[in-house]
Amino acid sequence: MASKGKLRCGVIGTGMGRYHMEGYATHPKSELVAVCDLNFEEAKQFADKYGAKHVFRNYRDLIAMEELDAVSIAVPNYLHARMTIAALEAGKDVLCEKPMATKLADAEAMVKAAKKAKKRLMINMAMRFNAGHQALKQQIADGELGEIYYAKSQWIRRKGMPLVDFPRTGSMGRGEWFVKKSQAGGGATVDIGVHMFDLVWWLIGGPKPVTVLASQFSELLPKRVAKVGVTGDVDDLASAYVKFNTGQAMFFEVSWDAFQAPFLGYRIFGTEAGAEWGGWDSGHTLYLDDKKGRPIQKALKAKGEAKSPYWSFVDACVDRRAKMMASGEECLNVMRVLDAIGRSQKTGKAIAL
Amino acid sequence: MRREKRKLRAGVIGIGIGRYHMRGYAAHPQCEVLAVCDLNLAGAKSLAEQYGAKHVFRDYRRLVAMDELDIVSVAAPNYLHAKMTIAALEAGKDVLCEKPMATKLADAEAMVKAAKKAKKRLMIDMSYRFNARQQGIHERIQAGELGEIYYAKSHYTRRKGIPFGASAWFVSKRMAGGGPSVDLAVHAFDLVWWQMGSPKPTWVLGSTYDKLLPERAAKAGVVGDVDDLAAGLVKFDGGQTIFFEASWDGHIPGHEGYEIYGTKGGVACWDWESDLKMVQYFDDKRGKSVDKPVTAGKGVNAFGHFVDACLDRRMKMMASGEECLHVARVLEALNRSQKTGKPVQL
Repeated sequence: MASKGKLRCGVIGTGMGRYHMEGYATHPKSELVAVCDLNFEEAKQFADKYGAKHVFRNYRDLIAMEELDAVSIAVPNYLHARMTIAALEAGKDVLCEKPMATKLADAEAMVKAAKKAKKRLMINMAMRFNAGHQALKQQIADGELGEIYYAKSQWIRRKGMPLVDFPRTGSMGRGEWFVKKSQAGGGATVDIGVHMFDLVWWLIGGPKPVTVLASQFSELLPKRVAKVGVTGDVDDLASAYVKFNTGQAMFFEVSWDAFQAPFLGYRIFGTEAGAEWGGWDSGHTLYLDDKKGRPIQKALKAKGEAKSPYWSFVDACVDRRAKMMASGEECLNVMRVLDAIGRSQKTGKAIAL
Repeated sequence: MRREKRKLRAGVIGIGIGRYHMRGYAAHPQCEVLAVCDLNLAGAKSLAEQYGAKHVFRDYRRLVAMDELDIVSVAAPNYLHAKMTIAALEAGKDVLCEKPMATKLADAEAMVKAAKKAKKRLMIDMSYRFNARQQGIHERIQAGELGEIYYAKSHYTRRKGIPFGASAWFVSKRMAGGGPSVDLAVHAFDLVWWQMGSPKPTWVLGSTYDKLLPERAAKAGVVGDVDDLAAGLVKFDGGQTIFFEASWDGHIPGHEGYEIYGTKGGVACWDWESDLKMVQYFDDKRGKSVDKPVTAGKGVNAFGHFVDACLDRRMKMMASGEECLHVARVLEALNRSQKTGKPVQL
């Protein structure tokens, strides 16, 4: 670390990376020192904004910097493994955007590289970093819901297709790589399925997945992206049933587009109480029985705001003994499920993990 | 001879759901209720009087043995469906049996076999199909208005909805065959599967749970050993997929309805037990999202449809035993998936 004792951070990618930069620049124990993007002008603008002294076009130059402690990887998915491993091998702690990689083997290699380098590897499972979800996580851990046996997690978008329905100038889904299997690894499955599975899986205690039956569809995407001059071959809808070694089961589904009403949320079934989240505007509700056995419900109130993933990562890098959320090793379970979903679709069969 | 001109004579076994069969038969111009049977003879008598049935029995064998009967409705507890249906078919009657077909898959298969052998009609009362709006959307799906249907979900979940009822057979595994995994899942799955065009199921992965029922049954003074929640994913040979779930209880508000995903449009319905609501989702010519209500089709009543199918033997009958065997196979596979912890290939 630098003499001031601040964690020196570099960010590769100015799309989602801009949020990483803001996090590092505002945490009292970290600073942003380098930014890298093929779009050099944009990299410069962000570097100026957050006070980073170094700007690069080539990620190798950023990683080679000796005066750098931690690196954020926020580039197209197919580059995650390559850049993460290079950064780890250069002795940096790494915060990588989700999904970890486009192939399971790549994700495994990332975890192996982190172990070998004895460095931190965290995946930006951003949805976990919300006060409401974390309050529910605490309730579940405290046994307030009893034993959790079944859960559903859903994010159905109607006309929520990257490149078509969203502006291509913002932080997300800007490049054509987003709808190309070779570069993104998948469509709705890896973009938002990764969140919906991870979030509820983490809430219910991270049980070990054992069986997956799933389908992926791409019924609407090819035609719609063709209208904006792009060739796309990823899924626009995925649906999966996952059983765990605990006997628990989770159903989850996601879509970028479908002829249905949009819905975002989850429902968790426990023996003492159930929990429901109906999207960002609706908060969390607990359903339980009163002492006389009558059904009641109450809002789950969360205090304040959750610490951001960027701040959590900085804290875990500053205190090496701190338990880090969303470690690469933990998130490998999520990758295994996403990989099984792809295989279930390809083979038409259920997949045992 | 295409359609018989005479009046068909119907006998109904069971006065629970059976009363709706009686009402349906009595309302058909070419059908009358001739016999009613129930262990509760007083109840059977009063319904017989209401619908003008001359014969009342306690023993179903006597009803089935009546020469003057053309058709028999079986609306008794699930474990009796196979026995009574097969006896009626062997006695030369056309049979309308309540859902679920049977408590065991082998029994359901034996029912279909008996119908084939006797060359008689066997229909299952998949009552949720017999709704004018459901039939209206079915016609439009068949006509290709929603494009290719690739995905669907069906939900029939309740909070505090365990049917302890007058007798406790509903919560007895031996008598009911299962909890919502058969009682409600049969509707949830069948309705959306039929709307999808009845594709051939290939794989099932599912779960059933009984986390709340045994204790609640004990508090109600009955022995309950069936599931209270079931969920599963089914894949079909055309790549289509259905997710369905059913529960009698759970600490989550109940929800009934389905969502069907097509390449040109979608449809959703909810509140199907009370006041059915349906919406279709489309794009207009400019590619903008539009929603529109579902208009009703002709609307065929289950009992009237069965009578018509018995009057005209060449008519295509909905919800035949053979068709519903697919539903029984999926529900059996879901329960087997729970028992073995593994996916089931059909």
